[in-house]
Amino acid sequence: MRGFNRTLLAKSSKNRIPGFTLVEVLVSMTVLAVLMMVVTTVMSDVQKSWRQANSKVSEFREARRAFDRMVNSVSQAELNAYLCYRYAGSTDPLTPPSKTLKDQPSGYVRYSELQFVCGPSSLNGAVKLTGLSDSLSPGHAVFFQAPMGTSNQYRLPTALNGCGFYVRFGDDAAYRPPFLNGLSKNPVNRYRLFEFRTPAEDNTGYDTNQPWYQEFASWSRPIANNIILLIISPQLSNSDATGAGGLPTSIAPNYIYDSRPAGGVSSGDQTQQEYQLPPMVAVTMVAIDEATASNLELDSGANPPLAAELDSGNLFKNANSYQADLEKLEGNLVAKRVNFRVFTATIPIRASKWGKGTNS
Amino acid sequence: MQLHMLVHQSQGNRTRNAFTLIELLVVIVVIGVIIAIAAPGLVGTMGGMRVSQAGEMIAGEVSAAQAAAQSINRPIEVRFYKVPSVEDDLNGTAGGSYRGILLLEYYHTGEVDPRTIISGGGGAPVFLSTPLAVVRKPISVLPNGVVISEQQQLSSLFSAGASSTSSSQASIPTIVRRGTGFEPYDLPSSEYHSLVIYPDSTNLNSAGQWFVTVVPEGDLQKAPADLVNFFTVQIDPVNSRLSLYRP
Repeated sequence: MRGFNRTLLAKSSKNRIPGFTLVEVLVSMTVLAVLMMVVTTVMSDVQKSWRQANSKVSEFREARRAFDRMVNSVSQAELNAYLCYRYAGSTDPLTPPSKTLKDQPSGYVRYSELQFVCGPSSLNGAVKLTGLSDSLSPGHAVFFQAPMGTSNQYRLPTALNGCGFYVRFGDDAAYRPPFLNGLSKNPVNRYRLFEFRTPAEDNTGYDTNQPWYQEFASWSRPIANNIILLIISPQLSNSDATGAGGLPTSIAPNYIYDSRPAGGVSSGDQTQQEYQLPPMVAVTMVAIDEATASNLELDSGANPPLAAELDSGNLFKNANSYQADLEKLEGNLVAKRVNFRVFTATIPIRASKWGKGTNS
Repeated sequence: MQLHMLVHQSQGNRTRNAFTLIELLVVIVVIGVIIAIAAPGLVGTMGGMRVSQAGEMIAGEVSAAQAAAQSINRPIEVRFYKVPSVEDDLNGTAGGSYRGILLLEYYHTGEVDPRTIISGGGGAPVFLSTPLAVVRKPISVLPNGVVISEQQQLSSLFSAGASSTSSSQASIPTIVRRGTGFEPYDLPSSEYHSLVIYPDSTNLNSAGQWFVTVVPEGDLQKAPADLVNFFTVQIDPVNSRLSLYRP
């Protein structure tokens, strides 16, 4: 009897050890599932923030590269001004009124066939820049000639090109690979920094009858996405400014600078700006990140976003209030929770030979 | 009485201790269903990841070329080569697809021969009578399963109208730096497509749009409109800016 009892006990204990009950397995699976869920959430969070950081870095990388390119080409602006005879009795000071001996030149006048012009991009008066509306092209534009050597036909390393920079809002349908249009992928609406550059063979900078940058749209290419504002301010160096008893911004108090006077060579004294390059140009560029830009596109679609923040009607009209305007803009962008970065540089223009104008 | 209880208890335990066949089958079926639901998504994600990885690799190589062109102030040539994959080797398929990227320093005719600068040391400079290419970096190959499409609509850089070159220029001597000297470089094939990146522009025609598209190997023959998974790297011919497009 005792032996039977023992064997039964042993058998039952042997049976009890192997195998979990269904409840145990379910509990462990639930715990495992919860653990996995926690891990997945953490992983996806990490991935998301990594992607964000990555996109931020690469976004501003593009902006930085475009800014460097802009600084480099503005610093090479060229005017090649020279002195030629002035004929006081003529309606055009450059041509003698008649070919008699009495028509002797009265002096020298500074002249150049090239041009450096900047100011609010939407400007459309005596000085015309892109003429686009404030909302489409916020901030300023600059157009100049520089020996960049861009040409499709020749290898001339210092050939003159028409150059320029401005910001424009629009879609990328014309710039992206055409097969994307067939995939019904929507064009992307962004503020972009455009570079205008005419190849040497298409440069009409010699044409004084109409702005040579009139066809700016056909020679422009975007060089960076998500640039919302460009400010160009021609300035004097500090020593020049104190010497002249004014502010560095005194040569372009409204940010407008045109080396070619609207009516040609002035008949009286030449102003300092006439046929001269500004000695320095302060460039400010405001970039936003791609995540913010795509959020803004969800809200406003094909309409330019941030119009209220950029406040083109009031901000950046007067060069003396530049600092206050920039602070106001930064405040506006922070309030709108826009992630942005401001790039600034004061570029000395190598070819500038700043000096007094000549007398009549 | 004690014995009766013991027997009863042990019997009860026996029925609860192991899974029945039905339970196991149910679990296996559930696992099977879950895998069946997840697998296509997972395969798609993996494929997508590989395509983006390959696209970013091309973009990385081109920006490395730009950086190099600016830092040494010299044209850098980016060549795309056909590299056979493991499967191609097994199947004995000749050629393979465009998967390799090679960066080279490009020396025009009339420039000082770089070989004489390093080894000469004081001798008169020797000028090149033919162009010369010096390999900057060993060839990088895209991950398995993805290739650069050769269709013109997807990769305009590979079209005949591009100023990129093909086998016609294969005769350009290609050398590689080894220690203090140079050795001839073993090219993967005589056929390639290339573009030259100058410090602030490229050799591409400014009137065109230039891009290459990475697709999964299985989608090579698919029409562009049917593509679901691609990565396009566009390079601006004037300012050499890169733009990336994916679905």
